Amino acid sequence: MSLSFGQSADEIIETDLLILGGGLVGCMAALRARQDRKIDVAIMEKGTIKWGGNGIGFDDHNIEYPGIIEHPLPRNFTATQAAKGEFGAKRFHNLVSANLAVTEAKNYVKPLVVLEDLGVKIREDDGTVKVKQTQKMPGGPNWHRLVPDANGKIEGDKVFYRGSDVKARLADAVVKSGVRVFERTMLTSLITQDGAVVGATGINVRTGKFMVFKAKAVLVSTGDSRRLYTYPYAPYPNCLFLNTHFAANHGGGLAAAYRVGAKVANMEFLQVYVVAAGACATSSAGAGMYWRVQNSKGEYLEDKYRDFGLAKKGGHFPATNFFYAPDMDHPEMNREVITYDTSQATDDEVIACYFTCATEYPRLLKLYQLAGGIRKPPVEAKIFIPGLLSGIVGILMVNDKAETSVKNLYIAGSSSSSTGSSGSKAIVWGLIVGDSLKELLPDMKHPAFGAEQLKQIDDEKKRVMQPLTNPGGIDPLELEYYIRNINMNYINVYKSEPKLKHALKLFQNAKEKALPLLCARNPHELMRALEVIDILDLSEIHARTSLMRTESRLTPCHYRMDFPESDDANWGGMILTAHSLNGEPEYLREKVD
Amino acid sequence: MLRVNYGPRIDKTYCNGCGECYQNCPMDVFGWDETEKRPTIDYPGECAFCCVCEITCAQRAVDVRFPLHTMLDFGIDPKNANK
Repeated sequence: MSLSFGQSADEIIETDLLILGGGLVGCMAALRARQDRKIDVAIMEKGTIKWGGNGIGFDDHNIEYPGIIEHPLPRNFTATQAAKGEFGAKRFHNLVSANLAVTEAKNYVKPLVVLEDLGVKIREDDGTVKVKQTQKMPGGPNWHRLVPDANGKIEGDKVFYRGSDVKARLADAVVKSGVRVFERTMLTSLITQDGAVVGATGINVRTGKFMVFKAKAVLVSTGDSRRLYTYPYAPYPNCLFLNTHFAANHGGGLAAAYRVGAKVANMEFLQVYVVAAGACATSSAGAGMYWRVQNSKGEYLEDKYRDFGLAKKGGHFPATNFFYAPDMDHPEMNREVITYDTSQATDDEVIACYFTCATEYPRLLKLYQLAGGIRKPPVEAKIFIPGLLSGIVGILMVNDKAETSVKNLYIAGSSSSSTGSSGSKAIVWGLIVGDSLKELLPDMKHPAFGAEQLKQIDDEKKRVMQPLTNPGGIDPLELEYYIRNINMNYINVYKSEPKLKHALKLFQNAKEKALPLLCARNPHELMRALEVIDILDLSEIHARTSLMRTESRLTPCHYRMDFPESDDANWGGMILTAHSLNGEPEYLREKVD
Repeated sequence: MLRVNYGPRIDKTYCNGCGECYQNCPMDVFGWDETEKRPTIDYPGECAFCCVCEITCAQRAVDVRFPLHTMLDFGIDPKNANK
């Protein structure tokens, strides 16, 4: 049966592997899948693959737990713990799979070899590998700061390489390998056949061209959800786009996968960060990663609260825990002005800061330059929610082949619920899934679209183009601001049943009354309109799962004022998943492996 | 229309129309003037301040201006913020 795709598709692309998102995961996966040039690979990328994704500046220039380079196992975990994957899973309070953590650790070193082959400077001039120093909080997670141990020795367990050109080199290699790259093309939906994913639709955000992709397998690597909360210290619309991470990541892959029945997990968990005021940046520019934070009395919070509960059992960002210490009812930040002071930074710290700035977004170097250098007057440190807890929140990765709960749909990186997120993890999982699909795809058949797929495509085009038919309607950014303020005001860190229920009502109201009136004057604005539809769906799931988890865990990432304690008897090792079943949301309480 | 006083600025004296800023901007802030063969700044309010446009401009014609709250909160004197 020959099918013409009706009048819907402006362009049809058939490929073996369709990769959604050309960030670190997408580029590495494409490169690996194309290794022997036998598999056709296409990347759909909303921006450009050279400058897209959280790896735009790649500040995660390290490999976590790479003690395995010099030692057989991570340093601060026993062999038994490591073998069970506890080093990964326990860090996230058993909300992720221990088995996946083991797979990840076994593959940590491999991407370094690939990157080195691409010309990334992994080694120092003398041929050695430089490692990044970290200090461990007693019983707690990594503390990314340059502090010698009690013997004055600085040891590291993170490879510290010159990663500023990682993304550019990966992107160049991807193009050279013959991967077909479709830039400025936004994912709008996944196409299914008998419960399996067989392709996707996208729209070029500059030309408005509606694209249809047919593929044997689809990898979602669209990154995390960075547009659910706001940077509340900035005016509109700056508050929508100023983020510690890549603001173009709105969660499009999550929303599309959810709508075709893929399970998304842990959507109740927030990422709660400490950032430098104004810069809205962590890492070198921010408090808490390199710099010690202090209150107006000059007390260092890490000293003051080292032995308090949250510092030991709270969320996995130490500095954040100190802001909410000694407990959630009496957080230091509510009665204090907290700052970090770089005026007395040591030479080593200044060098490390510049190094990290150089591998971060270019904005950080410029900010420090304008402010007069690293050694500058104190800056206030503030709490900021850059989004949901990436790598924990996302499409559920069900096994070490990076499969999802939907056939032929794969997931890796920050848009996955797997092992946490960082640039290092993204590259590792890109490599794992690329290698795996290189072996699997030759034996898989190309899908043949039937009437049902054509209907999906026609319906999707109507949905996508609808805002162009509403001149004078609702501005997408105005609606986005409204939705994100609901998250800020009714969900946020201090959650309670009445507020969560009210948030759900407000979302429903916006869905019914505002969505149909969304307006776009051109393809760029259409992108923003389609994004806010996804943002609204994801916000609703965020509220619903926050309501369902009647305990607190990884506080302050999920803190219920009405259930302030962790309830291991009922919630230990349990996750909440959501998926769409025949267009209706279904929520499940499941045990993580 | 809401006036946005931050985001990328193009010095037309130096811009040679290479289009790198338009091609590279991750947030799609730039537009393109086909008549003038020069970039335009269509959506400055959506600038995420990555500064990719600035570092990829070989002519150094692009300058990203930070919003006032960024300058004041991070310790930057606004009078030093312009090129």
